[in-house]
Order: sequence, then structure tokens, then C-alpha cells
Amino acid sequence: MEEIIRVNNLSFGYPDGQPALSGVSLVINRGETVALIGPNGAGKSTLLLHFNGILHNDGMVRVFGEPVNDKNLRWVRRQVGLVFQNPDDQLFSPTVFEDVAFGPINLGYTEAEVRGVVTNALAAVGMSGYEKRSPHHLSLGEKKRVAMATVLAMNPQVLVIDEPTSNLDPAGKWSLIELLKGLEVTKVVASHDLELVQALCPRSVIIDRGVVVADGATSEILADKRLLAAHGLAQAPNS
Amino acid sequence: MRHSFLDQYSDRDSLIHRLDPRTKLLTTLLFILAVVLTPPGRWPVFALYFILVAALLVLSRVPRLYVLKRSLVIMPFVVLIAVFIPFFKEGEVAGSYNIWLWQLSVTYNGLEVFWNILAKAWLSILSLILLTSTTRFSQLLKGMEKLRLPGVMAMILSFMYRYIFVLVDEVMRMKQARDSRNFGGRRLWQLRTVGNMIGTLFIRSYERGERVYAAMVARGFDGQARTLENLNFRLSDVLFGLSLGFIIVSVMVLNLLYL
Repeated sequence: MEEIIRVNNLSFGYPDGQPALSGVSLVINRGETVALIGPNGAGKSTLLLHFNGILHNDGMVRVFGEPVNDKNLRWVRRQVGLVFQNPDDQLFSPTVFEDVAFGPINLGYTEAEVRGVVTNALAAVGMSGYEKRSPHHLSLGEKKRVAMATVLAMNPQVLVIDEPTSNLDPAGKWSLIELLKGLEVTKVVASHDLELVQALCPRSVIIDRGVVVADGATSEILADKRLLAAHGLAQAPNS
Repeated sequence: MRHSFLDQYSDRDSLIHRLDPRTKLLTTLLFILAVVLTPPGRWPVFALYFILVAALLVLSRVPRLYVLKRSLVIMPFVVLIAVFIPFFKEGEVAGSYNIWLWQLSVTYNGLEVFWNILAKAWLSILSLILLTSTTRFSQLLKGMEKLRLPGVMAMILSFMYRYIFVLVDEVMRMKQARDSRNFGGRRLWQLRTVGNMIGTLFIRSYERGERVYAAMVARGFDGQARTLENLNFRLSDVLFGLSLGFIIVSVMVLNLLYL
């Protein structure tokens, strides 16, 4: 299997002194769909920000074997597409088209290429025909889909998604899960929505307090009620 | 929450909607300049300008009632600024009032200036409503950029358009949370709460700014704003720009002769 992301003993602390990650090691291979699960504040989002170099600690994260550093950030961000949790942060342009086109334009595509990838990306998330709409006037489910398209338009080798189903109603959530299933790209999904994890990801990694505490088949991890309860992912047994 | 569009009706179709945003921006500026430079008391000239902007509004097929309502929303601010002028302008006294120790007198001269300001403001506002309700905001921004507005300014305006209602929603939620906990009590306490809310809003906006920036960087942003170039002057732009420019300039000349 081809290795896409390798995280090697990564530690990170925020400026206020709070340690967010302490010694995380993880490998993501091509074609996998991996769930990163863990309670609130476990360090999931911080880890995701390291995957494409928004936060970086020289040499601790490798993408296709290349250590992420200041010099190859543009290349890294082309390989690893990051979808943020809140689509109101991800979608910042006056129209849907401009937002989806933002990445490809930055990559230096020609106008015809940009129009092509935008059309394809919107079609891939079922949002064709929304090009001229303002992101503010979309529903949350629609915003999440467009946010996904903004990253797909850059044709990344791996799609990293932070909490794709948060705040969605059940119907919206399941249609999003179906959409994600249909996307043939390596995926890393951070979530504590175990239904999503079960339906989408064959492999799961549990992170708690900045440490990887479990890494294995989703079926086994979700069956281990004691493990889940110990890391805030199920009701505590004695309460 | 649902909010009205800042550029409502701009997605419709008409002769005016189809024009290049640059044509509309420049003619609007010319129109406002002409209105503002008209000397006081030239009512026939103002009437001509009104007929011009009204004709364009009819052509644009934007609902008349909407235009009227929208223009009246802004007038109170103009009145507030202009209302003192009649009292301070020297000239023939139209009426004078004694209020406690002060004697206030209104002059004819001052009144004329007052009416002038109202008329000029209203005409300018009408032309701006015509501009914003026939041009999408994104197109307007593109037009401004093409007219050499610095990229940073265009970006600030674009973020404003995108986030203004996100912030309004945030304030609304904060107010609801406050009121549901029985907000009341002494004046000073209320002020303090409002102060805290403003501070919270500032911090939240600041943090949102950082997240938005991270999202931009994640998609290859390097400080350089890039857009697709898809504005084209057409024959209709040339015709419209020239004819409107001709009308406005000839009214200005007429104005000079009349003097």
C-alpha cells in the first residue's frame, strides 16, 4: 500500500501552554477511509491542521515521504485537502462559484480549467446550479456540500474532513454519508458521530488527551464498550 | 436566520442589469457629481435629473414601491444632519421663536439650502439604489477592482458582504441568551452587560477571522487576491455610457446658460 501521510511522534502545544498533542504517530495509506474519533478537546482538529501544514513542526509530518516544511507548503496543500468544521469559515466569497474557484485559481489553472473543475466539483456534491447563489443564503447541509466542493475542486490525493455531520438533521446527515461513500478518494474523517464512523470508515483511530489510544478495525473498536466509555465516546458504565 | 439581500433584485434581467458594472459605476458617479454641483434653487434642473433617474428605474423593472421605501429609510439621517442649517444661515428671517433664553430664527436662505440638501441627497440615493439593485455585489466588486480599487479594499468589501449577516445572527443569539436570563436591573449594570457583549463579539469575530484565514491558506492563498477576468464592455455599454454622459453633461451646460 502506498503511504500518503505519516505522522511521527508529533507533539504540539498552543501558545497558552496547553499541550494539544503529545507523541502522536499515525499512517494513512492510499484508498483508506480512516475515522479519527475522540471526545471534545482530544486534539483531533489540531492534528488535522498538521496534515496540510496550517500548523507545522518540521519533519514530524510526512506527505508522500516528504517532510512538511515552509518550502513545500503549496505542494502539500495540493495533496491534502482540508474541509473545516464550520462552513461559514470555509465559505468566504460572495458567490458559490467564486468560493469553489478560489483554490483552483490559486493553483494557477487557466480560466477554462477553473470553470471545468468547478462544474465537476459541484456536480460531485450534488450542488450543480448553485454557482451564482450567495453562501449566506444556503441551508447548513448545502453549505457543507459546497465546502466539500471547494476542496474537491483542487483534486487532492486525500480529503481530510473535520466533523462533517455536526449540527445536521438525520436526513441531511445520512445523505451526506452517502455522498462521502460515493467519493473515490482517500479520506480522513474526524468526528465523534459513531453512526457516521460505522457507516463510512473501515478503520478507526481513537485520540484522547493528545495521545493515540487505539488504532484498528472499526468493527472491533466500536464493539469495545469499555474502551469507548473510557474515552468519552459512550455512556460511562456505572452512571 | 433569513435576511434580506443587500443587493435585492440584482438577479433579475433588464437592459440595465445586463450592462457592465463599470459602466454603471462610472455613470452613477457622474450623475451624483452633477447633482451635487448644481447650485441651490435650480428646481427645473433637479426635475430633469429626477426624470432621468426615474426613467432608468422604470427601465430596470425594479419594483417602484421597493425603491421608494428603501430611499426613505436613508432620509432621516440626511434630515438629522441638515436640520440645523436653516437656523444658522444668515439672511432674511422667515420666522423666529423664543425658547426659554434663546432666540432662534429661521432664514429663507437657510430653508432653501435645507430643501436643496434633501433634494440632492434623495436624487443621489435613488441613483445608488438603481446601481445596487441592478448589479450583483460580486459584479460590483469586480467592476471596482477593474477600475483600480486596491485589492485589499475589494477584499474587505467582499468579506463585509459575506459576513455582515453572520455577525448580525451572532448578535441576535447573544441578545436572546441575555434576555432569556431576565436581563434588566439598574442602568449601569445594563451598560456593563452590553459592553461585555461588544467585547465578546469582537473576540469571536477576531477568532473567526483566524479560522477563515486558515481556510484560505489551506486552499493555497498566499496574500494575492486572484479572480477570473470575465467583464466585457459591449456595444450597449458604449451606447448607454455615451448617451447618459451626454444627457448629464448637457443638463449641466443648460444649467450654466440658465445662470
